[in-house]
Amino acid sequence: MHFPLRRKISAVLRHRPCDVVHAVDGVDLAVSRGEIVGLVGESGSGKSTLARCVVGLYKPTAGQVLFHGKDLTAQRTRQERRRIQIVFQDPYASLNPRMTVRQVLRELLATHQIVPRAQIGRRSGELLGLVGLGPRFLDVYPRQLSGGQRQRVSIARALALEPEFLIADEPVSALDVSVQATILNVLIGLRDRLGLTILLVTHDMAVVRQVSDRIAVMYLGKLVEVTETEAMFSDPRHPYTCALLAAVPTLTPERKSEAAAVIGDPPSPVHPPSGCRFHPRCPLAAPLCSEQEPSLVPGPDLPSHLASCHFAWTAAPISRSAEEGHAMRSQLESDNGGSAHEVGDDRHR
Amino acid sequence: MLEVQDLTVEIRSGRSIVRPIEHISFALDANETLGLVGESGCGKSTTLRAIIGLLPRGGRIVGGRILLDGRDLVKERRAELQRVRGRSVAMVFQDPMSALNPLMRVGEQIAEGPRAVLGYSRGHAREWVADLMRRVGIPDPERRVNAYPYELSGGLRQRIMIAIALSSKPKILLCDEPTTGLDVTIQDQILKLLVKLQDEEGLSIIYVTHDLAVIAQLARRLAVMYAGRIVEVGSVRDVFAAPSHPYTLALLRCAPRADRARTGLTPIGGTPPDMMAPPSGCRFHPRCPLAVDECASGDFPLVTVGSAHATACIRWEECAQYAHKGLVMVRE
Repeated sequence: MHFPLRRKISAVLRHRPCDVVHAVDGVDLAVSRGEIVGLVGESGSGKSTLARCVVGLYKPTAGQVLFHGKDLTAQRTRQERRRIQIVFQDPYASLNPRMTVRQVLRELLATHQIVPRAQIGRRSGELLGLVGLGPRFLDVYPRQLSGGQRQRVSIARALALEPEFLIADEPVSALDVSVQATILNVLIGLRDRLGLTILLVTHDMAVVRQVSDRIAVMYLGKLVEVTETEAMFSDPRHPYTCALLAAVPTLTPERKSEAAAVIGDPPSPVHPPSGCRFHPRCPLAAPLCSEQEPSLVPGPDLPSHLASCHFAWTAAPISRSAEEGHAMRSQLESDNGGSAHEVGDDRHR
Repeated sequence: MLEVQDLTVEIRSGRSIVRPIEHISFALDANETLGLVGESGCGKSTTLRAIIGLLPRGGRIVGGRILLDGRDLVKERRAELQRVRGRSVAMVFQDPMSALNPLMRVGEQIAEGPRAVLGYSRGHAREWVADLMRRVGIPDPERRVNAYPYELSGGLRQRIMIAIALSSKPKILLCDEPTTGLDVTIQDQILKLLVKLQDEEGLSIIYVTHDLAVIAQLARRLAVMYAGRIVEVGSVRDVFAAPSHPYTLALLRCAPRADRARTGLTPIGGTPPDMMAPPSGCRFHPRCPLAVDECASGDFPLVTVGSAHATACIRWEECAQYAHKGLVMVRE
């Protein structure tokens, strides 16, 4: 069963009286039941803001969050709030230090009347079981738990309300790598056994490759590429995606190029660049890119692969190395009959 | 160039005594990068701080030697160490926002070292600072030299940290997870900068991280640490191809990979040890799928298993076989 979660959100955060941060700007994203979608981006991309809009912590400035076709953007009822839940990044900050695990779960189960009072204890034990924790963890305080255990308690807490849709905002970034695997396996297990739909927000391309079915890449408030996981890794179409993939360190470094994947620092979200927001740092930038913003469009024979770049679907696929990208650009220049101005001449090669 | 022999550090706080590192031995040659890899609490940062003499209050070296060009730093007096710090050995810290002085312009912070250690005049230092900022890739250095740390992005701040470390022309750079918390594209820039600087300046680098992939990109050799001990050391190529310690193998297997399609993640069973009361014998044995009775007591010094490749595991041959066959070890 398919449920569209279409939203066009422009969440605007007041920065100074006149300045406005366009944290998320015109994002359309649909998530199907039982999918794990990875929402990827670096700091300032707007992914956390988008996640919080979906779960209802922020009210979008414009646009809608549609759940099973129903608009959730206005005030949500208690029923509605149950259906989408969130797990936060910092396991040390997101649990109330003065409540035991049992108290946390009881509060939720009782307030929302999930089960009769008499069964709260049993249900709490079951919830911990779903995340691989034994019943002895019910009567401990967060300070007695490790980061990984706390994160699992946060997941159990999110599951207490029996949501259909779970948003995990950087759930493993604060954890050691040996613990990451445990948490990620818990999430995958929940999807497999409970049919849970998951939006995994992260900056970690390795995590997203191992866990998600589809990936959406954000840059400075906009979606730049959306497609199935393996398609994104084997055939990235947006230069930012290519740069992101090229920048990720791997255990097999022989295949990487010498030049840094992308130049300079991300621009300020208060004054985003004109046209395509990535153009000042893009190896393929042409004059068109600073004038006209590209839209997120699918490829000619690839309806499920979307990219927002003027050159995403031109003849040759965009490669990952800066040198090849540069060569391709020269080719495009001669094809288009014009000259592309050099962007960022001061960068090192 | 730098040789650490049997180094042990103790930290006293109140009544409790903890030994964050014990019997640590490794060597660093000229012009090479050594990776020091392990998870939180394994003692990798403590090792760096012991070398440069910046242990926390209550911490002291209680055993071993740190030989820098033949001189034992452990025996040196504080005044001597002060001269070594900055001049021969410098450190790049993890979080630039905490490590930089928020009230001083970055140019002044970079100049502090050369003025104190090299005796540069103000004018000479200013030139040196601008040049250094250019070499670490800070655009528009003449203007940026007067900036305060809060005005700069994370990537630029970390470049300032590297400039400060290089300002007194050290031969050895100790890097304590300098890219943790930075965006991956910025991390990529910083790592490539370090490679470039090492080439140009002839530096030796010890790079501490929990990320094996970063080590693959940066270092030629690595040492894997667990619970205050070194469990395996060797060239990156050898250690990745034939991990000879179950912890190394487990680390390699459990980390999500960006360069492979979905393979399934294998976590390491059990929990990291409590350093106040570490396990007896081999500290990894409670979590080790290959553990036998002998592992629970005794000492486990490094034994050579290949050319410049050593491990602390007595069952390293079985371990290498598992690695070779690509098998996943499951603890019963």
